[in-house]
Amino acid sequence: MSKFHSTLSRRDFVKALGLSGAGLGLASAAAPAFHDLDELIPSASNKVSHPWWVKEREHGNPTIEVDWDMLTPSFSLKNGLDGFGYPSPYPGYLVHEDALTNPSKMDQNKPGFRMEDYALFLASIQRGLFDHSFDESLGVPPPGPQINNADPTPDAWPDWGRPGEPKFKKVPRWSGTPEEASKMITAAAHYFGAYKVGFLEVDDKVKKLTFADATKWADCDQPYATGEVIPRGFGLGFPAPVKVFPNKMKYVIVLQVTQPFDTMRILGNTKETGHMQPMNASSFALGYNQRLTLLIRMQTFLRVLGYLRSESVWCYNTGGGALAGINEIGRHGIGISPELGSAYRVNLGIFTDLPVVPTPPIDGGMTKFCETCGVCADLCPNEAISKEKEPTWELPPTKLGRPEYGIPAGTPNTWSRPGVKNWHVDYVRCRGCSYCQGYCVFSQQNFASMHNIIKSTISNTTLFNKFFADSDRLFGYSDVDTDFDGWWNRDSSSSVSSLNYARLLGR
Amino acid sequence: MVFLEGILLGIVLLGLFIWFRSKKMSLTWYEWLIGIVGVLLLFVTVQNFLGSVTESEIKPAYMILLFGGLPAVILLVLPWQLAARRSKKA
Repeated sequence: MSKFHSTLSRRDFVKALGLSGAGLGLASAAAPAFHDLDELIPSASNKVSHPWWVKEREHGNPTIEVDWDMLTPSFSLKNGLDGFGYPSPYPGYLVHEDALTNPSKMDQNKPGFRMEDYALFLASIQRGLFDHSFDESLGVPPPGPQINNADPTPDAWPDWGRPGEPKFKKVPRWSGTPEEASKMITAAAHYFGAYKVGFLEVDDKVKKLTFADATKWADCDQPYATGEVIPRGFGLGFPAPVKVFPNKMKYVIVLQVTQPFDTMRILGNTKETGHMQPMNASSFALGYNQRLTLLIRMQTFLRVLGYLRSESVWCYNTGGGALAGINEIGRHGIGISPELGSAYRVNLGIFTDLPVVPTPPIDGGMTKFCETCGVCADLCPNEAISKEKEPTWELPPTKLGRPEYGIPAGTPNTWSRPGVKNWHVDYVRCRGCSYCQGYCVFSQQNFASMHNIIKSTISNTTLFNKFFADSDRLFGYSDVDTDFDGWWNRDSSSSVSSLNYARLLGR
Repeated sequence: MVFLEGILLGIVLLGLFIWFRSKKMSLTWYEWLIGIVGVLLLFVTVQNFLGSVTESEIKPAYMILLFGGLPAVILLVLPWQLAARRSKKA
């Protein structure tokens, strides 16, 4: 038959119909069937959503090598606090008399140090790090972040009761599968302000990321404080009350908290001092403010559902994020997330007895890229970041020390824990400025399409890593923003600022 | 943005096609290939330039214009000149 008028003969049509029918039949047999909406909802993905180029790894195995047998529990006074065990007195503290964030450094003639800059910082830090942060910023000793974590409104919500209590029968606590719980928590946390949500099951590995001296586990029904307080001291910037958590709190909800992008990158001539500036510190502080808000919201959410919830009891949140698939770990010792790079504040870890589905670690080639890149190490004004190519198990001593604070060069490393193969940061030198965070090559915004093209290439091959790292420098991505006054004069109708930045920047 | 770029790309390609037809110029397969690569590179450059400006990354924006835009223009001029000279000879 001629196919002049039609490219499809009747025979072909019938044949195609038969094939299509068979195909449809197979597809419908393979596809899940939904009988009502309740079945449809839990079928939606409860996985962490990553860009297509990010691969998932097996549980408990992040891209950075960890010897879990060698790794000691954190927050022991002997070992310090993974970077936050600064030998004191230390100018890294925001309120230290030498810190540039101390209002005594105010200078009305100096951009970035004017009254409005300090007002911005002090306003941002409210309910950020400490409950009495304003006083604390002005020199009053901090009461400790643990106080922040106490439930601020213990009687504000009805107690739904727990198993064993009479009213439990009247209002049973929420129930559902771990998949449904993960999906529900993800939806709520996203609404409360978390950028990304992951989950972990508590095991010995996860316990090693907690404040081990202050976090105990027992077969009890409710968490309680023993009344014992670990005093402030070396490796411990604040007093920590000892708490006991029931062994049934077997899950962790991991919430990624953002911070403003614009102020984080306005650093001024930090090379001169190596300190955090008020405007830059306001970004850091606003991130912690968001952390606290998110913590209280999620604690309340779990409370109303009838489940136990903790404060954020881990001290190495970057490690927690790496295990939960939120981030990898970089040369600068902090997290690198596929979408935000290092431009986020912290991973909140809330322990609970609500069963959820653990999420696996990820591999986007980012830790591997750090071997070649080193932009953060080159930018670090305090020479705190290692420039060695390969990560190491060794804990090198401080190269330069802080002689001005009585810490000579070569002082042995007591601030990092052995058991992690990475580029151990010299925390005697680190002063908390955010060059490494804001100018990490992965921290770029995502409006230009090449960022995602580069990230997907890095994820699949290391062949171009050096080229990309060199291009970052050549193209001027690591040129530091010093325009304090430009920020105050910005057009707020078109510039992206504040905590919403992550969603507005095409990420 | 992508939608507008798609429309613009379509218009440019259609315009080129009509123009070549009107001039009775024909392109060899490799001239088509070079031209298409040039057009794609041009659009990638424009998107990245505008994206970088939105990111307030002004220096990278101009670097992209230099390293992307210049080769794109060369790749576009090349098949045009090859075809124009061939049709002149004929």
